[in-house]
Amino acid sequence: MWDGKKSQEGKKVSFNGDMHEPGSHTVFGKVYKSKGFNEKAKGKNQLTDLVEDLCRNPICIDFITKKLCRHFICDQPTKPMVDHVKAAWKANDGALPAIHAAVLEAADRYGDEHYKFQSPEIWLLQSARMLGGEWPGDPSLFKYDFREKPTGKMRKPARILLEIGHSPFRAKQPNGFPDDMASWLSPEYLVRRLTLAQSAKRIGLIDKKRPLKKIISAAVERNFENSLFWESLLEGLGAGVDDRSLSVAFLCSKEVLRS
Amino acid sequence: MILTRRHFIAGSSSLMLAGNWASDVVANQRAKKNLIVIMLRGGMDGLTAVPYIGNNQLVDLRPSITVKSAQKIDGSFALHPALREFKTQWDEGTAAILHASSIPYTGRSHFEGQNLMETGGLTPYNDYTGWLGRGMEAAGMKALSISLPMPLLLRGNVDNDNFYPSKRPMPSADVMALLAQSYHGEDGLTGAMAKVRARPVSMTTGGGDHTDIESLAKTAAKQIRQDGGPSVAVFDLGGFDTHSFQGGDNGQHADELKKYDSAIGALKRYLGPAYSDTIIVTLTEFGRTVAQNGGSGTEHGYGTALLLAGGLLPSSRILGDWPGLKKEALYEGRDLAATIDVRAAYASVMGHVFDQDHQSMCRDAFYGANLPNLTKAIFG
Repeated sequence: MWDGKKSQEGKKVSFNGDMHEPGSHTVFGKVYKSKGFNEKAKGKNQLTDLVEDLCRNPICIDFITKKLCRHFICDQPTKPMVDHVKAAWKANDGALPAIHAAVLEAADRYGDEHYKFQSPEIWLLQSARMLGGEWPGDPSLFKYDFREKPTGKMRKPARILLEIGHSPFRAKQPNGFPDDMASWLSPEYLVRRLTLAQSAKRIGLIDKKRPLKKIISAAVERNFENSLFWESLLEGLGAGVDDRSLSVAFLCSKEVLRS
Repeated sequence: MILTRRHFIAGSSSLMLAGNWASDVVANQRAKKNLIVIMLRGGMDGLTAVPYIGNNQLVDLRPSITVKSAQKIDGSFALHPALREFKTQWDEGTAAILHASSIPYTGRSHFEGQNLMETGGLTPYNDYTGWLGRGMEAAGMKALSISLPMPLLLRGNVDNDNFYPSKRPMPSADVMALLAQSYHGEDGLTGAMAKVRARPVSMTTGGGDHTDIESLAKTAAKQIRQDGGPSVAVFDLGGFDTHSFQGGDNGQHADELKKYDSAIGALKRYLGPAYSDTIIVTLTEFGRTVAQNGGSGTEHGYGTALLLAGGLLPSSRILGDWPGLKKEALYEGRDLAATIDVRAAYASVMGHVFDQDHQSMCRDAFYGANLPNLTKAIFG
């Protein structure tokens, strides 16, 4: 939330006039005049006027609500889910907490039929959280001294993310990381997740102090409404299953791979 | 658009090869034809790969990045010395160049340009499928991409596979089978898992080095040669964005051209007889400025050169209308002009390889764009 001077948290919002192109600007057919270029303001009012108008612009509302639904619910958001978020937007004049709450409601309401294939980063973080791993590692490891090259341990998270297709320091510009399944699910990306899941314990995604079977059972109970999928996979794996196979079966089950 | 055939190799060796090619076709009329696309990201400089030597204009505009040892192929053009394999194929009558061509994008953003070179559309970020994928889907073809993600270029086609060597060992076959069974009802996962499980052991254990273009080409060639193997393969090379120290005979641009050249050399070697039924085309987002900049590099431009190689070409030739390098002939006074929409060549190549007519490829792959038919110019 931005009232033109302060953010929702009360922090001052700064405006860099030197980065602002002087003169009038036309957006969606409306001309935003600079009202006489003045050294102090340098078009600051143009920006506040524009943000106010964009927040109430139906095209903008449609664009952002679709993007939110695509990011949090499914690749092809349906009209009812988008309409639910739009209604919250309009009723609350674009207040972000209300919009986000509506996205969560829509995810809950339509999530049984519509879901997403997890992007690599979310899948990795979610895996570590479910299995109690210390990821990306002890915070003291990441105390950078900028005079030295980062150590191998410091670079490990980036290396692993790169391996599954997410380049942490090189988001594809200008659209950022893709949001759709087609970008994250190729046979080779699946190979990467399978092989990484197999090494999950070694790379630190799993709590090493407790038996893996117990960790997974607890994770299933805590995170899934239905534990049948895991029971069925466990039965298929057989009695003498090793930890590597257990971690692959769980982390690459369709229930974990999708949101 | 008038297309001029500027060169026709009439040496005895090339005629002999052309003869062999013809008899192979007669002997095996239904041989599978293959299309390989090598993406050259960053903006490949057509004037470095195939410099104009008709006069001194280019040398004058590029004093410190002149390609001095370029090998003359006709009175107007030469080939960069890094393109050794391409030159060999040129001499054998199986290489072609469509100079002064480009996708219809005159902006200078890599992001937009690369999006459009893959989608084949006119508006950046408007499409979620690629021209090759759409063309293949219409013709019912199979593809293999040599890359980690499935490139946008191939999306839109159902039967796509990809390969990129990994050093980590695969889970056991039993666990894979169990997961495959549990993916029932999930089309994307089921399809990807089926592709992974169908792979030969050599592709899934160790699998080679993904930085070694030779080994990647070998794997691709092996797959293409297999019965029921893919008819389309895509390679992804980057690094052509040489804003500084571009180099001439040697240097950054030359190194990237060398990678392309190694790929076509390895593909020819490992495809063996199947190379007679193959065409390899390049794809880049734009060319580079004609004049060098202050950092001995070049900026993002417009017109570039399409390189074609492979046994499906009946003879070596330079295609296209050469606009010249005089200031008034340059696009916006700085770039080589593009006198033809390069998508015309892609539509014609797809039509020829997929046994479809050019018009249907324009309709299915390029949103019904009215692109000139270059089938005779390239394959006639």
